[in-house]
Amino acid sequence: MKPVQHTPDSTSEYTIGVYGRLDEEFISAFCPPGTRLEQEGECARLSGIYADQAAILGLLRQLHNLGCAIHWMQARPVDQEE
Amino acid sequence: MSPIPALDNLLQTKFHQPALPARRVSRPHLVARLEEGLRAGRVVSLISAPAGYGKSSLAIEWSRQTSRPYAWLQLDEGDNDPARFFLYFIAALQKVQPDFGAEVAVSLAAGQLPAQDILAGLLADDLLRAPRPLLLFLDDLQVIHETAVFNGLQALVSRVPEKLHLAVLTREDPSFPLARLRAQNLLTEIRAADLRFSTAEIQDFYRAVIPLELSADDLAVLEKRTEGWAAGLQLAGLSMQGREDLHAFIQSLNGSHRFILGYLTEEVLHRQPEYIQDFLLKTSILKQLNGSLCDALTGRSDSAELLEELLAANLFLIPLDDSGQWYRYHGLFSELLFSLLKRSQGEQINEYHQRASRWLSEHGRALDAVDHSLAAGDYARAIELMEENILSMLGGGHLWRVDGWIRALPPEWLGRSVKINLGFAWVYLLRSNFERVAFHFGQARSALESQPETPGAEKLRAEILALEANFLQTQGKVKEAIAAGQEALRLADAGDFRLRGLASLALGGALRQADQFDQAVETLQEAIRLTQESKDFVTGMLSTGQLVLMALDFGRLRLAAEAAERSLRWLEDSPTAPPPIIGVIFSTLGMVGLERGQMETAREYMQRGLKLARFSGHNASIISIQTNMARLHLYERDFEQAKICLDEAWRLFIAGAAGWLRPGLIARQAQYELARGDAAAAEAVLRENGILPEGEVRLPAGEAYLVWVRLLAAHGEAGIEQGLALTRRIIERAQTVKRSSLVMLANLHQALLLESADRRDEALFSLRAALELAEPEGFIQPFLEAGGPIASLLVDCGDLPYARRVQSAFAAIPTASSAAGVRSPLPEPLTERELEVLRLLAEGLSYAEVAEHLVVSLNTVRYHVKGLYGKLGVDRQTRAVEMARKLGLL
Repeated sequence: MKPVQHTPDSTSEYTIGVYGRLDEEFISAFCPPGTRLEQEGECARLSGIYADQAAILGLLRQLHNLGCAIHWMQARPVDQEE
Repeated sequence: MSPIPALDNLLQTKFHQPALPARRVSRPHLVARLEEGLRAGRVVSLISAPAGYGKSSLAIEWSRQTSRPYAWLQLDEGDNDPARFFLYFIAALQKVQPDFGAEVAVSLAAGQLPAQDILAGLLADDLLRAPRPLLLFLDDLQVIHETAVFNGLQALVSRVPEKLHLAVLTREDPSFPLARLRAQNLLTEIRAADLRFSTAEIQDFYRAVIPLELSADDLAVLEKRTEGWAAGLQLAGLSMQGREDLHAFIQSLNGSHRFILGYLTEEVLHRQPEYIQDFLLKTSILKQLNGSLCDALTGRSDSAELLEELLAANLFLIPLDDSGQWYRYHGLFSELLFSLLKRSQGEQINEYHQRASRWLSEHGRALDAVDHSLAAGDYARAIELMEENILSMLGGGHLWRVDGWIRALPPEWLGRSVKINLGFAWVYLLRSNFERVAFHFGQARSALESQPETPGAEKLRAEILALEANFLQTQGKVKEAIAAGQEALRLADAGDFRLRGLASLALGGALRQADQFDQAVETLQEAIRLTQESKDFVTGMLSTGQLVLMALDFGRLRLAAEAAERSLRWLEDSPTAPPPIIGVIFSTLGMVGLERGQMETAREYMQRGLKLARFSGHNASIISIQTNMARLHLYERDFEQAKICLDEAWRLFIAGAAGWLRPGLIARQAQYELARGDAAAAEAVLRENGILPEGEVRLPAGEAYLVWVRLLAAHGEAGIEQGLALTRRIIERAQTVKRSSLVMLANLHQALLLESADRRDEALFSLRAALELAEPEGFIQPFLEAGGPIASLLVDCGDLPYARRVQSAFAAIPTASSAAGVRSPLPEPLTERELEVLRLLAEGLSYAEVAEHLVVSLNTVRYHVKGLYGKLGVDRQTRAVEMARKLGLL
């Protein structure tokens, strides 16, 4: 098994919590396949986001443009074979 | 030179594609993937990776191999202004399709942005005409954050996916719906992981690009340390040149990219002669470099030669043109050099920025000069530069960039500049952003009050008053606007034509709203004269716009036409883009045509005016023109088109537009409802907007009151009397302010009412009064719109030459009776049943026979007969048949 890499070009699994409402339309337009959305009151939780750093930066900016405040974010570098 | 003068002032370096290095590692598998995406009909190729991964090199290699015509556009922060972005977008594609976007480029160059769907439609039409699909490289898209830019691109690409392919080079994924494109197989992606150099490619690199004798183990270590990152490999190679123990050096590398980058940059730098190191550090503050600028910055005299040396040494210098004049550093390299500069010469950086600012301002690059002054913290100099150039900066479509500076300035500094705040107030006034106007006005006033009294203070006071007067009159604060305008003229120097023109515009506009016709005309004509002297094209056109709109309101068709035509001749001689108000000026000629019964002329000018108004995104013009277009469509009984016009007008009005547009829009909406036969809806429109048949007649809602007159006519004798009383009040009110066209229309409506009440002699009297008022200006259309009853009355006015002219106009109405083409001239058309009854009567059937034929009661036939008599303005069957034949209904 190739070791997990911590570089901008490697893929990580991200989970993001934002203040704001998102919908499936946003997920299907801007998020990688497999992204899950859970709305918890006024907060939305996006999980299962598999992306490299350039992709996640783009997604964060899109959330910012929609007026969502990023509440928290977690990144888990993934095994290259996942 | 471009075929469009407006594009001559663009930075040509933005279109320059960097050269393909002679020594490079070729990446055919990635090029093949991109090319396959083109063949598969994908719309976007995304090359997304952090800096230093070789995105540009790959794109350049692809462009050299593809057969598709391509263009290159290097983006910068200033392209967040959508008007600027699309101007450069158009200019880039014009390199491969010369006439692309020509129509809208001129407006964009003046900072006027059409609505997104209009812009996308225009550009899509041009792309459809392209003989071949095009490819556009957008380099450094990560600097774009403005959603309007992304929305516009998306709108365009979605319309003509087969005609334009975007190749996007970016450090972060752009705000496109990439996931959707991916799912639809419309996206080719090259990501950082794809761009990492493979083992074989690293071998190639150190064989062909920076030739070094490296063992397989050393190469493996390098691959591990740099992780195939191109910038790291290049810096490592540069650091190793001339070293003896390469193995030891490679073993010493460890840490993250950032660490390696910083470490290697220092290594590369320290291996250069001192003078080169000094040159690189100092010039790292520049976004673009040339020999002369670098000399000014460094105190040297040989910078041009040095730059050539650096280019030959592969030291991350990128040429921006083919003549070897301008360069820039690779972003990553310049960022690192700058951080080294801060560390080693931090206290001198401000001085370097100031030197750069001086050179740039002396060489006509005021925008870049301001950047450096701000970076130096030299706010006084930054403000001085902005004050000297504010109008050209704002007028040249740099609002976004200048706005960024304003936000970067400490508040106490912004508050010191009257001129900058006035400049902004003016631009925001033109864009109808009244909130920002008020803010900058407040700042300008405070700035003036806080300054010591100087000889220039009175002029500044006059400027503030002139702009304030313009602002007040758009808000409908007429008395205050008149006072401010008059005071501005009192304070302004007699020879200051620009300022006096501005003040006269405001004063004229306010006098127009106060219905002081003669004074308003005189003042606006003076404003036009002054602006021609000062070559202030924008103010001149705005003054013309006010004049022609007022002239139309007051029925002065000749004055409106002359002023409009004069301004269009002025426009032809001017190199600047037509200002947003130009749409209204064309539309004015359309309205004159319409009032004179020249339908095709009217349509042509109005459509042209509408197109120009849409180009400039000037909503007030669109509303005004669509309100007039609706009238044309109503006359032609094209209710569908009339509704489309009114819907757009209302949508834009509700989104935020000047109040003076409202009365005309209300009147037209009510006319529309009435023409469709929905009297209740017409009445509701009027009542909801406070226009009531009793009480005071408030101008300029005069036309709306005339709709009441028509509504009241259906309410029997009492309604007719009420209607007549209303027309008398309208006439009285209109006469006090010399609105002769409204007096004419009121007389015409009186004639209609009186005729419907069988008071023919009185009706003729009113009609004659209307004809007398119509003749000097050539009004025809109001009579045609009044329809059959007026046509019938005209027969008894044959002694009047103008009556005969109007009769000829009636006779010229097309008589084609196809279902699609028939144009009923009746304001209230005959229903199908009424027409059927009339047809049968014309064939000689009796009422009873008609009833039997139609299988209805005799009373029903009598009811229909009464209705059609009223609509045709007749009182007996023979006249009804005669009138119907005359109007082409039979």
